[in-house]
Amino acid sequence: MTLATRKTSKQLPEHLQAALGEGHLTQEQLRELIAFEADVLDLEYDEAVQRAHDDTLPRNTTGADLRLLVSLLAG
Amino acid sequence: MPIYGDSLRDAAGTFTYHLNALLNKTLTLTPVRATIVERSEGGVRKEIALMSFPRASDGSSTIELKTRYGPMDLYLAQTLDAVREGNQRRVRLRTVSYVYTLQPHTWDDRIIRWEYVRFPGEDSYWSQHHVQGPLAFEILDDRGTNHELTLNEWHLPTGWVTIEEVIRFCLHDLGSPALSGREAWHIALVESSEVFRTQFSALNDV
Repeated sequence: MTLATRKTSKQLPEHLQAALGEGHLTQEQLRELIAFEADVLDLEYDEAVQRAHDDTLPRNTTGADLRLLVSLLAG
Repeated sequence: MPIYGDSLRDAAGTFTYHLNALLNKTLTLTPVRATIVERSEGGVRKEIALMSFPRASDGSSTIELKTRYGPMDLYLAQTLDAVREGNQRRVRLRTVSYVYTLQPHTWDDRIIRWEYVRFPGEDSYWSQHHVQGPLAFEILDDRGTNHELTLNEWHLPTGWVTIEEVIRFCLHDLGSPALSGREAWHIALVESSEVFRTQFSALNDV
């Protein structure tokens, strides 16, 4: 049992990996993470956030994760 | 008694410590962890915790499970906040949402997902605890119309689904290799459920 890998060559920026490693994200870093996940799904940030609110993101684990991340954005 | 802590991080740490002890005895050596996200609401600084498997360099936060149906990705995530009751010094951990999903590697969709949303939108009237998935079925109504549906179109109510029950489903029904013998993982799951019921009150309000 290992960490699964997605079919993407995209890599999280090092500063985001570091922040995640420390277990702490600012809202700006959260938006960067959402933009990264959106890019994996070939979506722009705004479109991804809107589709998360509309519950129309792709029904895969990346979509589920992205929807949860969007729910963490400040209102 | 719910989980209390000096801070959200402290309480979430207690939660993940317990869960990881359980995961290590049953399904995976990969620990869940809590990431604290800062947010500001009405000028007031708040925090919310996201508990999930660690995020890999490609951004994913799933683990790969071997099953009798081939490999699947397991995604376990909860968002949690901290509630201060009255003049209490310590805060109480509260689950805001959970999402548990399984996706076969050969699928573009999750085969099943259990979800909970504590604060659904104003126009949301569906069951807060529900299960969904692309599982197809048909209903022939009394006018002869055949309705082809999937479980994605319903919010089938479930009640509170515990991580223990998801682990049990993976081990028993999907045949994922366990990290201990059947009796040992069964006892670990029963004991963990009992801890949550009697000490953490997860079924009421983590």
